[in-house]
Amino acid sequence: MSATTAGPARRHVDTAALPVALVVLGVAVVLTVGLVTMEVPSTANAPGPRVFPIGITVLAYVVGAVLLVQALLGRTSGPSHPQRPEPTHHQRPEPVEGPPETHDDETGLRRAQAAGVTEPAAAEVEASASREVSWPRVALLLGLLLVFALVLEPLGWLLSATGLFFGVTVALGARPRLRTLGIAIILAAGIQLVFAGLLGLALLTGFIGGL
Amino acid sequence: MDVLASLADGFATAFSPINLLWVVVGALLGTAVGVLPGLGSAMAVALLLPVTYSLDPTGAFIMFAGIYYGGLFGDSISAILLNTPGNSSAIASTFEGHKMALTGRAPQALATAALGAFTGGLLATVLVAFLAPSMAVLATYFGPAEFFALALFAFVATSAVVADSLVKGLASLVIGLAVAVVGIETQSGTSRFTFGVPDFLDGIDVVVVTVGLLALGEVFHRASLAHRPEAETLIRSGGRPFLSRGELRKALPAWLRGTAFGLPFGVIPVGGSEIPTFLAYGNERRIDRRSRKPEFGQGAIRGLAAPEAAGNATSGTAMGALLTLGLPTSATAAIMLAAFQQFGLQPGPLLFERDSELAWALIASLFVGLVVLLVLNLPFAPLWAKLLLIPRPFLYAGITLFCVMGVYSSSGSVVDVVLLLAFGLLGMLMRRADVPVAPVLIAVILGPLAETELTRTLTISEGDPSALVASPISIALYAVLALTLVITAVNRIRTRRSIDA
Repeated sequence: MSATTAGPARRHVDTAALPVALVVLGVAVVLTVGLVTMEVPSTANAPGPRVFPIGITVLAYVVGAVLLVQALLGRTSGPSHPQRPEPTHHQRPEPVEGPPETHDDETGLRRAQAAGVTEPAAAEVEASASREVSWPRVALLLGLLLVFALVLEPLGWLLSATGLFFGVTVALGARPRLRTLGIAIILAAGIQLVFAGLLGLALLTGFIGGL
Repeated sequence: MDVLASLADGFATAFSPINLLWVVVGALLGTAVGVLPGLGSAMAVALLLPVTYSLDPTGAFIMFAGIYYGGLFGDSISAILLNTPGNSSAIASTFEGHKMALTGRAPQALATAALGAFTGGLLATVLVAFLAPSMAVLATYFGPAEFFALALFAFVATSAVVADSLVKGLASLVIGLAVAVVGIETQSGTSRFTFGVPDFLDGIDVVVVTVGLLALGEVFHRASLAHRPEAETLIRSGGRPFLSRGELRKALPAWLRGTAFGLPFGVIPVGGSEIPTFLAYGNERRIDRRSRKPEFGQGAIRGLAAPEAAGNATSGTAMGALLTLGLPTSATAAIMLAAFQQFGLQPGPLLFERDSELAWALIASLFVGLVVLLVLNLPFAPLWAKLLLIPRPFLYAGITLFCVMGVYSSSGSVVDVVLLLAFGLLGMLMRRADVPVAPVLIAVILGPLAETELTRTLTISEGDPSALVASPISIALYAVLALTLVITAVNRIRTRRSIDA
């Protein structure tokens, strides 16, 4: 992993690992604040409630720092990237059939040029293109769920769940149609019936329940 | 004969009509969730956990037995027909399984998987039934220091083995541990890291973490690449869903060999059945290379049979480790442990004394669950595959709905829904960075146990840390941990080489 082995191929920041490094460091900071502000009752016996979290905090700083350095040094671009089925989840990189969308293509090309490699790195470019994130969609989904959390108690399950389902299908690329809305209502009502009615789970009825 | 008598009692409980119904419902729901692309057996248990709250503990665990095996089989269906394993444990099945499906042998591939899962699960459950009592007795020799060693074992082994880099595994672990220390500390009553939010006093619910990281994380992940063209094609799977004599002759030894690989890994906390399935696959491939007509690469039935049996054997003995030691060895088992805790039960040596009726009913329903699955899946696997035809936006919107429903109905708190969101986003980030999720779950569930046992050990020894390595059992555990790390490092290198391109 030293610069000498990378040769002429330049490194770029590993944008996939960077956020995780920041999350871990953020966790470490939050733990530190919590440790400092913690009010330990005088009756607490040794070793006390701080010891275990202190260990975690130290580990978090170390792991976060190493991950950050690794992410900033980045992955080397080059054809020798070992391909291995992703171990933790579920999707192996899907083969791209048909013309890839222009957005990816351009980014890949730019990356390839920036990395100073052309032909042999095609696989690597493709791999990094599949890591491109459509942030607007993610933000849209996040917004939908936040709105759902806010309106759930005042509006009740049926209306908020219908809205959420409809919103998510549209956010994921379905055309907004009346049929989709119908499916949304049926599903939301069905869940309410089965889970609240048959299994006795608590779901909010909202103002509709008061009518 | 004690075992047989207890087991008979267990079967008597499991065979009551209502409990049989719960097994069937569990198997159906579990398979349904497992089939869904990106969702595996761990997710099936987490997502369906709230559904069981309204049942009595026995009914709930009997249902879990169905969900557990159902989810595993669902993983295999999507692995074979769609080439997308729902869990890391089904990756090895995709290599030959999907090729079998591509060459028009999809129903036989599904039957091979179902029968393999049955064989592995059956042998493992028999082993668990007969060894559980002595395991439980052994576990009574464990004191605080030994349990701390076990928890540490689970932490280190899971993060080192599952991730492709140790740092990423530890990153996942540390996030989980941080989540675990939120809330009131039990020994002194100190409220920790709650930052004034009363909802945090009870800690962060593991269901929120699991559903967020796994299910909602998958939805976020999908959304982030939603502009990509769909490259998946579902393979039709009509035809004879049973095996010819020739196929059976090839598959049977592979099932047995796979089971042999799978059994020991259930009790070693290395994060589930990814390793034994790859070992079993690699072994079959070596055998195949020596034969006159090598079949690997063209859909070899043995290449599917062995990992399937190995995966289910591991899951079976993992259940044994969970019941007798209280130690989850995979993400799925970790969530099962959370389920026990929700019902106020603590798996471990005392479970067989205090709630022996429930423990034996659970073991018996594992058997029943296996049979039910075989009956449900051998003929109906192609029907399950129809679930994969749901258009993706609808599928993921539905999953989202189930996520928020599950989380909200189990706590009734909007704070949990917001937390769910945060974990969903985190799940997506982790997925992009190839950071495994299993260590988070293990850490959230075993974190409090590790801290309590550490505190106890240090209180007894009056602060002397050498008490942690004072007993032969804990020394042995640390030695096995070191050995496991070495072996898995070697095996990973081997496994990496043995995958057919």
